[in-house]
Amino acid sequence: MGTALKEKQEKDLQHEDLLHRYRNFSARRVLFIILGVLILFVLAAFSLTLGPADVTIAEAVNTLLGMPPSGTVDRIIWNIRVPRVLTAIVAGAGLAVTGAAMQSILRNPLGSPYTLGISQSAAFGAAFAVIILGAGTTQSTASDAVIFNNPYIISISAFIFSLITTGIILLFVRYKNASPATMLLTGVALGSLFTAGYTAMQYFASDVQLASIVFWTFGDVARASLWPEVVIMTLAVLLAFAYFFYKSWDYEVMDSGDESAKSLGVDVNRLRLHGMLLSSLVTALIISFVGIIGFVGLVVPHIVRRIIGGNERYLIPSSCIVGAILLLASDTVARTIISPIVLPVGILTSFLGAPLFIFLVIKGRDFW
Amino acid sequence: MKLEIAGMDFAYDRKLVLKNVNLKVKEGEFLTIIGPNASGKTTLLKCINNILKPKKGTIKVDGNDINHIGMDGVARKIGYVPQMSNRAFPTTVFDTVLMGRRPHGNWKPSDSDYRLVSEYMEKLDLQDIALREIGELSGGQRQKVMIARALVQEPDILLLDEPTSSLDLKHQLEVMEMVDKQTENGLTVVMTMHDLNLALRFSEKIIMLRQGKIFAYGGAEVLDPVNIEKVFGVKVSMAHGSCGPVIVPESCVI
Repeated sequence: MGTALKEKQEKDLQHEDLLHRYRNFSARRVLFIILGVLILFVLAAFSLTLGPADVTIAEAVNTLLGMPPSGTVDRIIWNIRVPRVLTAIVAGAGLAVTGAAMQSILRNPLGSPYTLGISQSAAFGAAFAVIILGAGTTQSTASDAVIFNNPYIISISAFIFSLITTGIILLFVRYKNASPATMLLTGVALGSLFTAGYTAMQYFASDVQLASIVFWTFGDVARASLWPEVVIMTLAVLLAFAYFFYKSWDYEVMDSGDESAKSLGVDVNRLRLHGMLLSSLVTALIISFVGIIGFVGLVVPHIVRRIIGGNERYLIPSSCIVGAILLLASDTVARTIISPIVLPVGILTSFLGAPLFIFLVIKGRDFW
Repeated sequence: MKLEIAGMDFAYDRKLVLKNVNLKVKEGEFLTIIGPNASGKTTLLKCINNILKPKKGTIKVDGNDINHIGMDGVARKIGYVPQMSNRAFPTTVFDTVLMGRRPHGNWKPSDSDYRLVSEYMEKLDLQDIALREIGELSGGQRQKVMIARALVQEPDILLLDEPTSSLDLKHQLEVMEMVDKQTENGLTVVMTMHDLNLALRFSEKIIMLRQGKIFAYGGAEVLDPVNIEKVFGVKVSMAHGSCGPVIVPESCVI
């Protein structure tokens, strides 16, 4: 009797030890998220102070709290800098979280708006709006190379063409039972088709039109820095985050293979269809507003996996945070590094992100 | 009856792979499906698990048609250990075993789920590798993790698709003994297998599949030289080891 009790106690201790180790492991992942949020806040506050007009951190924070030092600072912060900072945060978070979802849906580390043809079809849509619909051919200024005279038409056109690509892939999933590999190949094929169309349009464009469409493809968060656009994007990204976080356990199971997932009660076909629909819509929306910002959707989820592992429950929020940090940091550098000239942020995301990723390949966890 | 299959046909496109399968399995029974490659063994397991939809016929668990109890319902009744599983992205052993609780929860594991995972990991001696990545494990360890995941589902029926195919001799016996032990608690086991001697040693009931049809069904006695020659095209003889009869392959029948 005594030995049985002792054995039971010993087993209980072993369980406690295992659960304790697992909880510690999870706590580290949560800590990573909390740390990320703090860094994001500091970076956002710092970013608010940067620009042609001098604003201190204290002034910026007071303005946010409703105590602006002056009407000018109030207007600069609320009308110019907050929307811009928010756009960078929301677009970065949105591209990263949908990128993480696309990689799971496609079961492929190369899943991104690029491999699904969404970016290329958006670029085609923008070119179509500029050249065929006459949406963007006006003056140049020193600080901003090209001004589009009707940015909304460009955004809408880019969005519609992205939806066409997404729609074709989804139809294949729905009616032809397309496998992840078929989805990816269809995306690549459509991307290449739209690139051909985009190139053809460039060939026949005038100099100013050409400048406009090339400029559009350089992603730039300033383009969507008006409140209505910020609000639309924020709502879309919040919806995507909520959905993917709620479904994170299902995604985690789906990563183990379709048969395993089905045997664990996950309706993989439905999950894939819904996830693909939502992630493509949100990505298309972001790209239509800010242009093509490569790299964030593709590499941020991998950066997170390298640091805290692949569990989707932590991957989804962490990708949001790291995506937001990467895009906000890139935008902050982009508008200060050779001020007053503002570089397109798409260039900076790769310049900052690629070395970080390579560093993590060398130093981070070893998976593949 | 725990599991009942009646008049089931399955076809990939137009090719009929399983023909008129009828089968009854009692609670706590250990049933092994044997047969040559492409005889429909894995397909049969996937049909039982509702991963594949039969062309006709019914599959019932505890008297309920599996088409009427929902995917979660099937997953609460039936655990499945696939032959191969390749994960798209890395995850830890603990997180993998925890997935077995997905059919019982909604979006987040509960404290009792964690506790259960810990218990099964202890039973299968996986505690030491709990926080390691699945990709770093050996074939034997990975197979044990997959079995732990299926057991954590707390199913009534456990389906195993050639669970010993990538294991060395010691791990083969270890896995089989562990699965066998589970039947004492009322778990019903349906397994496919190539190793006739392991099948002979552990199974209560054996099905021999040939070209999608049940060729023979019964206890260990169905694995006799005549049946084996007809199903596999190999002449065998029976020897006697300390643990019972042993099948010794002699030559191919041309």
